[in-house]
Amino acid sequence: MSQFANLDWAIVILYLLGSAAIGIWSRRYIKDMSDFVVAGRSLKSHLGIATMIGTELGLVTVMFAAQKGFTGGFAAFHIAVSAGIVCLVVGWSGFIVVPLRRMGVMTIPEFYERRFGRGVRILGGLLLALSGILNMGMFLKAGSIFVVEVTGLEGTTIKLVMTALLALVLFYTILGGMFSIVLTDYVQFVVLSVGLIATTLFALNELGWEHIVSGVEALKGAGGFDPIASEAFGLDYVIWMIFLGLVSCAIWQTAVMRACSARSVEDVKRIYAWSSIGFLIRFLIPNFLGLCALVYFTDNPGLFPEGLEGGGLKAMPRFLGILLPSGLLGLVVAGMLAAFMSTHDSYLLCWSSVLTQDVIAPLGGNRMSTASRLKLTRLLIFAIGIFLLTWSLWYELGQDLWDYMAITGAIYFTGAFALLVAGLYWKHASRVGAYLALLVGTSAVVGLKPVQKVIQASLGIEVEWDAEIIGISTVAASTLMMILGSLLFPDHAAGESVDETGPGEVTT
Amino acid sequence: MIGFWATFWGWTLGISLVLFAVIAVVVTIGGYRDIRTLLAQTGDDDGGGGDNEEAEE
Repeated sequence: MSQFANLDWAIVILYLLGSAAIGIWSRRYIKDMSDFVVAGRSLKSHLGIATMIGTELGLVTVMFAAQKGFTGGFAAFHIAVSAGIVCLVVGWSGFIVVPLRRMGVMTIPEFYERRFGRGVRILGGLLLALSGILNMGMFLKAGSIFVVEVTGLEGTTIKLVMTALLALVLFYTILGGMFSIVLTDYVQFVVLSVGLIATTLFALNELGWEHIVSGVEALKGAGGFDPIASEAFGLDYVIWMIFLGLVSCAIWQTAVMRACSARSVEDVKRIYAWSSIGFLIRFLIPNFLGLCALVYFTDNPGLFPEGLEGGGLKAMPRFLGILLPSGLLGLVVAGMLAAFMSTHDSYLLCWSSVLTQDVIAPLGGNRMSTASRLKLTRLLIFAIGIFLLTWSLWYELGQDLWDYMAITGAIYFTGAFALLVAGLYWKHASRVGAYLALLVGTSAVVGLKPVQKVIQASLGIEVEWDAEIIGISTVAASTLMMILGSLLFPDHAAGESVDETGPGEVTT
Repeated sequence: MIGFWATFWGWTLGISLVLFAVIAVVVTIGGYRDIRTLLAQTGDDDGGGGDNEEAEE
C-alpha cells in the first residue's frame, strides 16, 4: 500500500548520514559545559528560532497532534491556537523567560538554588529530570510506529527500528552537545518546513476542503468543530490547553534552554514572538493531517482495519504512506526523522545536564571539574537512552499520547509553575513553600491510566479521572501550597528578591 | 454554527500556513548567516579551533 520506494530510502539514508557527520564535525567546538549545554550562550535570533521550532516540532508532536486531529476533528485546532497565542504573549511580555535570561542561569533548578537554596535545586532538578525522562518514554514507540506505518515495513521490525533510531541519536548527541543540536536543528527546520507545507497542500488537493469539512461533520457533528461542545474536549480541556501553552514555551526546560542560550534579552523576546508561529503550526498541521486521515479511512475502511475507534496513532503515517508520491514521501520521512532526532537530542541533553548540574554536582559540593561533568553528562545520555528503550517496550499507554505527555510533564511543571512565578514576582516566596509546591506537584502522576488502574485495584473503587481535571487540580494545589508555605514559614531573611542584573545571587 | 467554525478554522489554517512559509524562508536565510557568525566567533575564541577538552582536564 505504501508508496515508499528505493528513492525515498536513498533520501532518508543520505540525510541521516549527513546528520551524523555534523555531530562528529561540531565536536571540535566543545570547550566547556556552557558550550555543551547552551552553545556558549551565543545564539542569535534566526538560529534561535530555527532551533526552538526544530526542537519543539518533533515527530512525537506530529504523532500526538495528528492523533488528536483524528479523535477530535477540527475542534483539536484549539490546542494549536492556544499554544501560539500564549507563546506570542510570552514573547511580548517576557513573562518568566526574560528574568531567567537576565540571571544568566543554564537550567531552571539553578534558579531554584539562587532563589530558594541548594536543597530546592536538588529536589527540583531530580523531579524535573524524572518527569522529563518519563515524558519522553513514549517517543521511541511513536517514532517507530511512524516509520513502520509510513514505509510499509512489517510490524515485527518495530523493535529493531526503535533500537536503530536510538543508536543514531545517542551517537551524535554524545559527541556534539548543543553545537551539533543547533546545527542539525537548523537543517531539520528547513527540511521539515518544506515537507510539512508540501504535505498539507497535497492532502488538501487530494481530498478537497469541502469533502474534509463534510466528512468531519458527518462523523462528529458540531463537536467536530466546536471545542467546548466536543465530547473529546470541553471547557476544562480548553483551559488545561491554555495552561499547557504557557508551560510548553515558558516553563518546560527544553524551551527555556533556548531562552538561556540567547545572546540578549532582546533576542529572547524576538525568538519567542516569532516562535509563536512554530508553536501554532506544530499542532495545527498535524491536527489537520490527522483529520484528513480520519476522512480518508472513513471513505476507505479496508485500508485501516484497526477501525476509527482504535486511537488513531497509526492513521496519519499510514495515510501519508498511501497518499504521497515517491520522492516527496522520502523528503517528508527524512524531515520527520529529523524532527524525531531533533527532539530526542535536545531532551537527552537537557535531562542529562540537569541531573549532572543540578543534582549530582550540588550533592558533591560542586567540586566536579568541567571534564568530569562532560563525561558524566555523556554517560547519563547513554543511560537514559537505555531506559527509554526498555520503557517503550513494556509500558501500555492506555490513553491518548498527548494526555500521557501532559500528565508526565505535570509531575514537574505544576510545582515549577508555582516556584517560577512566585520566585520571580513575589518577594515573600519562601523555601518551605517551594518544597511543598514541588512535592504536591508530583501527585499529578495519578492522571496516568495504569496508575489509576492500580488505585482502582487497591481501593476497590471506580477510578476514571480525566487528565485535564487532575492537571488543573494539581496546579491549583501546588500554587496554594506555595502561598500557604511561604506565609506560614517565611525565610529568615525577609524580603528576598531576585537580582536580575546579571549572573548574580539572590539579594537579601 | 458548524459553518462559522468551518470558516474560522479554514482561515486559521490558511493564514498559519502562509505565515509559516514566510518564517521558513526568513529563518532559513538568516539562520545560515547566524551559523557562519557563530562558528567564526567560536573559532576565534578557540584560537583556531580544535578539541580543547583535554586542556580542561
